[in-house]
Amino acid sequence: VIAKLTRSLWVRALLTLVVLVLLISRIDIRDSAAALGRLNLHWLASSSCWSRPTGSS
Amino acid sequence: MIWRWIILLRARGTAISASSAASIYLVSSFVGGYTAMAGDAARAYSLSRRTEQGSEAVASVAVDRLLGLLSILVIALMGIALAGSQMAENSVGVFAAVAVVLVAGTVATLFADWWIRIALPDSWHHSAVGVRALRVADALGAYRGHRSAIVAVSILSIGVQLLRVSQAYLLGVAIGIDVPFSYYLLFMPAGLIALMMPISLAGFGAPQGLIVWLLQPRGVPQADALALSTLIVLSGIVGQPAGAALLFLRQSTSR
Repeated sequence: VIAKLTRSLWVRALLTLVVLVLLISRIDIRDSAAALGRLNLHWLASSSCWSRPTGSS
Repeated sequence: MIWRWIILLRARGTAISASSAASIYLVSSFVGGYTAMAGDAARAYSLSRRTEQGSEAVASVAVDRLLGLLSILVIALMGIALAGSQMAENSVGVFAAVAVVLVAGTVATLFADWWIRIALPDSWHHSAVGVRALRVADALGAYRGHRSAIVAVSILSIGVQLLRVSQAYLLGVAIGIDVPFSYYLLFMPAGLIALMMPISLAGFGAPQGLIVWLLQPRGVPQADALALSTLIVLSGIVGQPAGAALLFLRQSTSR
């Protein structure tokens, strides 16, 4: 079973790679990285995330 | 998610402890390459080896997965009730088709013991394949007699999916995406189903593309949508190292 799954993993890995290349070619990855950089972990970890409308603190 | 499966196993009296079931679940999720369907196959195989009840193992995993898919459908219905006016016209037809397939699939699964005897030619009933198919169908049909377990698992499934949608919403808000929760109820079911399909590795790739596409009608910049989809995928991976650790420990002790 593990051997069969590993074989299908190669197909999925290839498909994943193709879609990721397509996405990166259409989207500016630096903007995405900037969006990830805005992730406000402090706000997410606090209970205030349920009561405040935005993540900006 | 593990507890859902344990409820189903206990309803059928499968002789396995909660810790062993949890271990199989976590290791199968890891071995399955981070995709629900491949993990399901590994889970059914591991349980059948442990209990020597192959048909019961397959039935428990199939019922668990179907109820999980139905709970996603319930979430989508909530989304349509709250934000249906934001749906594109052609997506209504797609949703209706998926809903019909899911409901029909669940009914067919729970009544597999009835229709398989009609569909399978009599001469096949005693062949090796026929006997195996009938055993699995009987194990699936037996869940009709465990309504309280089915209801409990369904409620837990809806709770799990609501948590996943809430998680996506909070991650979106945390990176500054201004989309109401009701729209997440509408688009995340499609994203969750894509994450389950064996079309990606760990959820990267196609499911991310789908989430980016589904957020476009709300005017979310593609870069932000890609960042959100990456966070959704990464948050799903956080629980996987437990399965890897258990697999490593199991292999170390068997040497």
